[in-house]
Amino acid sequence: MNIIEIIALTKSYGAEERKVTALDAVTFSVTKGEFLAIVGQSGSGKSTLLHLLAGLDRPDCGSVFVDGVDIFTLKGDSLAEYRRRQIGIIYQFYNLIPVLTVEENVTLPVRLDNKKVDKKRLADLLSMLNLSDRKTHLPNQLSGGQQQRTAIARALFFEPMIILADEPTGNLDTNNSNDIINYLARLNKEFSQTILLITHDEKIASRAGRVVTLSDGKIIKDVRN
Amino acid sequence: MSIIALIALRSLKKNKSRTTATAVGIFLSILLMTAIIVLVMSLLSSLIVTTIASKGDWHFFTWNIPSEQVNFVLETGKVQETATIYNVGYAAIVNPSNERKPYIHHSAVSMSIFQMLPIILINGRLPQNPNEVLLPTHFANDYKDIKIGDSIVLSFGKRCSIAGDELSQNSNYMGTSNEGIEQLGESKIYYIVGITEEINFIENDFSPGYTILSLDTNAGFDNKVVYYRLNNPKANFYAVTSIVSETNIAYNNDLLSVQGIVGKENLRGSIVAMAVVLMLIITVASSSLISNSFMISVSERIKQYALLCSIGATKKQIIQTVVYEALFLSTFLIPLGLACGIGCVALSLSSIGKLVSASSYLNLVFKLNVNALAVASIVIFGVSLILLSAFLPALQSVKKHIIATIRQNDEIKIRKEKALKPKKEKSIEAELVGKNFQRFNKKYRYVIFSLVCSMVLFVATSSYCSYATIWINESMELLDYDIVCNTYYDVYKSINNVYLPLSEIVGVSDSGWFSSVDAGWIVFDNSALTDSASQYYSERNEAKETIQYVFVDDLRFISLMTKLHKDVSKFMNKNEMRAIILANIDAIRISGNDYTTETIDVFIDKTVSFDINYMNNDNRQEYYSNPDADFLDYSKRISITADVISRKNLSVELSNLSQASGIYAIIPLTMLDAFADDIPQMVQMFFKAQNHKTVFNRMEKFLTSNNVDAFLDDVTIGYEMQQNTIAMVNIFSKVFIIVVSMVMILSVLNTTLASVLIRKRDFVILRSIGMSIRSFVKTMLYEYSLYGAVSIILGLSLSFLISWILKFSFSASMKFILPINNIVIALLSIIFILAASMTYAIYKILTDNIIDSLKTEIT
Repeated sequence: MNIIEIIALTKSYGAEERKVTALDAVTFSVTKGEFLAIVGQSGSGKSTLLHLLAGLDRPDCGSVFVDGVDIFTLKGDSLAEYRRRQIGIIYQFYNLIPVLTVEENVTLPVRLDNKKVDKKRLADLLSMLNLSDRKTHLPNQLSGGQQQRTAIARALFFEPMIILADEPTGNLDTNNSNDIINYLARLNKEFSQTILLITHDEKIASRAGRVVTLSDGKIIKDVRN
Repeated sequence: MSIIALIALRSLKKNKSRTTATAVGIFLSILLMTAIIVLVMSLLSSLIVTTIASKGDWHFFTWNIPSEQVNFVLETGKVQETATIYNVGYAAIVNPSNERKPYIHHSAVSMSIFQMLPIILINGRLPQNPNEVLLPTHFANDYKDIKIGDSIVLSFGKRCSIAGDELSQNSNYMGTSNEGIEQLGESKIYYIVGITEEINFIENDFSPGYTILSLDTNAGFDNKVVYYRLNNPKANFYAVTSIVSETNIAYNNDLLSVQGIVGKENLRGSIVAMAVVLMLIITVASSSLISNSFMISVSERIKQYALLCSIGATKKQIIQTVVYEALFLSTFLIPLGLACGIGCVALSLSSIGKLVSASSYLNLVFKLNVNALAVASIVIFGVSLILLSAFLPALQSVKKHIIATIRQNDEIKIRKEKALKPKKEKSIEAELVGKNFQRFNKKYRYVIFSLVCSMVLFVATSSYCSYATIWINESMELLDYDIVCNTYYDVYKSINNVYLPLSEIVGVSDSGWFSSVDAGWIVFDNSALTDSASQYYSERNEAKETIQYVFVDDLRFISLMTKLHKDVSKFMNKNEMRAIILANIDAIRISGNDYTTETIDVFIDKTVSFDINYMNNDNRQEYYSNPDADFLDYSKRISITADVISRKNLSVELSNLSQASGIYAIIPLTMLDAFADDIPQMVQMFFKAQNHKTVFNRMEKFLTSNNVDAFLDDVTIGYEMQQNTIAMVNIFSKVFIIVVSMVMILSVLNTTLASVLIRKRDFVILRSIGMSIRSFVKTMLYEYSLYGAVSIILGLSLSFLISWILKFSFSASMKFILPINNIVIALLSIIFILAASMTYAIYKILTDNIIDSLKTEIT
């Protein structure tokens, strides 16, 4: 069952002679529970694709159906609700809210949704990500790895349909990188979590079940491991 | 607590310096606003209370109108209360101790008069029936053997001239040969039940009768003076007063003025208008400070908002975070600002009250007046201002592109056509400043806006306060003298026996006297009159005007002539018959519900020749004794040449004439016999003294010990309120300028510092790649010079313009004050503040650890 359908997705920046096509009629689909890595060189369109999937940007043309809904028809609160409930996003630079503690950052999407925080789930998640003893710390009191694990916990807490990870290990050392990828792989394996991982690291990409390679905005390779 | 509120609260705690600056800004704004509103309300209510205490709680009075018409007025239902005075008549005093006051004048009053008019009971009680009377203090002093509890037998009649005309308290005693009491009623016993202060709304110092009051039990209005207090006077005043003929009505102009009812004299309106302008200044200053704080605070956290959006926060929730911040600040700071504002005013009023009561007999009470409506308005104003200041930048932030904001690359929008194209090679520091200016265009605009606003507000406020001080000084009737002495001996005796000794008393710094008499009439030659004067007299079907002689001391006259650059010999030559004259008429112009007073020059030329139809005392008595007589038959013609002078810049003794309407011929005493047949019998003397109370006491002692019959008055006492008001406005202006300056200094420091500190990461990166301290300081210097130059050019132009416009809020004729001093102060202050801000920014960036700064920014 396809959870994501991407049809002829095109996005360009600039105008006339300065025009750069970041995505050029990209079409593919993702099935539920799939761990997909999107690889490519810098400027190949990986991040643009991820931002479009997160509803953070709008394409020139094409559609993205997530669970049967064209996300580009969503606006305002519905779009915010989509970002809150359907996807969990992990950035390279963590992007935590500096004034909130670890547990407050993690529970942020649920609290923005005015839902009650499931304390047991929070404890389990923090324990799983080795953050139990850091839950009352502010982001600037954490190491890079701890911050990224907090970002993963935030992305997971609402039990989203899809995890979108934009170079989550790009800012981390090898040990921390391995830990993060192990967490993601475990999530996919144990909870059938759909994950779209953007990376330029072939080794990390090899941990995914499927690798899509982008070059100049086009899919040049789509391989299942 | 919701997560949104939590983020807002934590953000406030984290950005301590900005929160403090914003909090101080909000606090000062609310404090200023409260202070202005409460001060104006308190001042207005104090003015009303004081005016009622001195002038009475009534709006107008009527006389000589029939009962039916009074009832017609009352039937409108717009009159809250009436009080009546019935002139019972005069009774002669046997062997009067004061030869100018040979009568007792009896007025029967309604009970309500004691509430509506300023009658101060010194001893005893109020009368309860027509047989009980109140005596005035000066009667009790002159006739010490008459006391409360005594009874006196009096028979009252009509005071008439020998021609049979009824005379009132407004005409002075003319002697037994010229007047008497007719139609005496039956003798009655009156019981003295109390002593009051002199009844100055009935009796003048020259009035021939001591006014005593009894209770009038007759409910009718015939032959009575009726005082009216209106319900909702602002709405009903014109409707009610228009019922009564203009010639039978007079107004309590002081009360009408402070209650904001009448036009030109509307003091309340002027004070409120002044307060509105001040509030506008505060609103602009506060809005600029608060919104700048929020704008920078929001632009600093735009990335945070984008992050929240990316994980599913709605636009409403983003705006809510800023609104929560605003509400948190409002919750603490609005009550604090309100309390401190009210406290400041209470403290000021109590100090001013002490100052006034220590130096005056008036014992004014400046009472704090705060009502729920004022507090509610301030709260609504404060909350709205803070919310609006917070809401607008938040609204802008949610419109931004999320990813571009997170990556912080949305600020780099250099369009090809607008790209900086240096004509010559620039230093790296200048180039960096140029690039930053383009990149952070909006933030630079906030800084420049804030600087320009500060400069303009400082200059505008200072100009406004200068205009206000000038206006208050001009509009207050301040006297040029402190003590007045009136004598009723002939002019020579008065000068030798009274004026000269008094003027030599220690402490008198200047003095003068004049003696005025009615001279007769001038019959106009219309061609000599100005158009306005012709129109004025033709509207009244008059072709004549009275003229008064004002005799003055020869030496003082010479000095006045020297000041006016006139050849004094012409005015002291009996063959020339030359005088200087004041010839201005104050004409009242009514337009709709408003009236204005226009001063009309009577003559076209500055030198005019005319005939005075002069009457001496004998001619006058004969003329008045014959109602059908033509004044021309009883007067002789005196041809004079007159130099018309302005009413301004007259000497001390003539300063009263600066407001006088009519024609006054000023003549040196040496010329008396050439102009007049009789020797004037009344002299007014004026004295200036720094310590007026001590000098007054010395004068009083001299008059008593020498048994001189004179009326001595320390007039300064009555004008101390005006002087205090001027002092108050001056103090208030200075305090206001200081507070506005503080608000603006904070605003500039806040915006300039913030604009640098939010780019701390850029500067830290530059330092980390080897930018020298010298180079960094140079960059800062370029940047701050850019702020300064642009702001000063814009600020100067706007300051001139606004100062010029502000003068019209007082009067178009007011002289434009070029606020050079204020502009210099503003320029120096801006340079100083920018230097201070720059020094702090440099210190902050240079002393911070590079790695910590980079790490903090990345987080």
